[in-house]
Amino acid sequence: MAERRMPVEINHKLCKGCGLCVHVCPKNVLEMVEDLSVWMGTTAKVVRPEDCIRCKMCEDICPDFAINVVDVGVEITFEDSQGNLITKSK
Amino acid sequence: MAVDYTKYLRMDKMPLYWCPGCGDGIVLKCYLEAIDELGWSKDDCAMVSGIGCAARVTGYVDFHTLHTIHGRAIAVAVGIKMSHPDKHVFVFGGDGDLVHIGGNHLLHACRRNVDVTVVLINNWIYGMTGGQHSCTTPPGAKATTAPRGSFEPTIDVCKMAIGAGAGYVARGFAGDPTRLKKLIKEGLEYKGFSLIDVFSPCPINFGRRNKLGDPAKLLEHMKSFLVSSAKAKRMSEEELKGKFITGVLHKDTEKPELTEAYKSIVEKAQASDEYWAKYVKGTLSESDKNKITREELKKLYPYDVETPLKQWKKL
Repeated sequence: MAERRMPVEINHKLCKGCGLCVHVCPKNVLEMVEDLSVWMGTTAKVVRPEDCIRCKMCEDICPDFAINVVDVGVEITFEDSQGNLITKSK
Repeated sequence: MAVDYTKYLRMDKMPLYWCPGCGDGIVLKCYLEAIDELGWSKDDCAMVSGIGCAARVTGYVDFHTLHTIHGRAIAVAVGIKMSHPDKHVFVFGGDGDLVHIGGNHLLHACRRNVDVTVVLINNWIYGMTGGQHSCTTPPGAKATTAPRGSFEPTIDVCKMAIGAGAGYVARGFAGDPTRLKKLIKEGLEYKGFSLIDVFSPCPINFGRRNKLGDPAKLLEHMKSFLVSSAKAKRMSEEELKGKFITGVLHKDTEKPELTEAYKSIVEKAQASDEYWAKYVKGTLSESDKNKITREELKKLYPYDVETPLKQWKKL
């Protein structure tokens, strides 16, 4: 049974909305959104999780320890941008 | 998650104090990954920092940490290393802290080749104190104290450290974390003084004044100044003018390390003290005489000590 979690997880308590993760992502998984409920006003959001190839470039560049990416090979189940449940291992 | 950062961070101090897009967090992350790969215990590590944005690192990492006065971080770190040679001592600091104000300490730590790892976060400005221009601000860039552009010549920190005799000198870039992690790991493993000069963006105090407020834009701007060491070999000197070479710039494996040299001189001095104590008591055996030669003793004590000792013994 695959674990139910997203391939990229963003901790919105730590994210300051600098936009570096959006800049480095090769597959355009992330996007900057305005969200007044977070402390800096803007935050990064995972909008196309099914495109993620788990290269960890966003995790490496994030200066605020806010992003976690699941290791390649771990099978997980998540909801994609259309709202369908899909299972992927890489 | 490959590395558990929470193991090395004081999570009650989070979120980090730095501005959005500051490169200091990236450098800290690379550094924690390098420590994790080496497998060092937290109790064996000591970190010292001075004043500045980069120096706030000591508040977040869960090692033995010390936050000292402006520019004097290396002086304190050398003291810690000399009294505890088995511990790993690191220094974090900015360019204004370690090069501009504490430049003298940096030079003499390079000369002595003491086993301290210095991670110098070079953001081309005094970030915390309000954006004054420093010795690494590129000519023409605006700062609070240079509203019409900086007009002073700059200093190349790596060339200065190589000239002063540092064992390991490397330059990294915060926009390239994978390579930066390798450089930091090599510097931590090296026995001797290692300096890693990291180019890191300061989007608020440097970027905003130079119309580079977007962190991604500033990262690309900094990248245009950098050339990798492999590429630099194929370039002529004219092309390299105004560019900075990244990678390992200098590695000297033969230079003696200061704490080891100090240990050997302490052993020599203690052996000769023992010899003289036995000589005075008259319990000197033949094997003791072979431990240290008369010529070595004369080098350690250049004064004539034998004649007064003999006279004292007669009394």
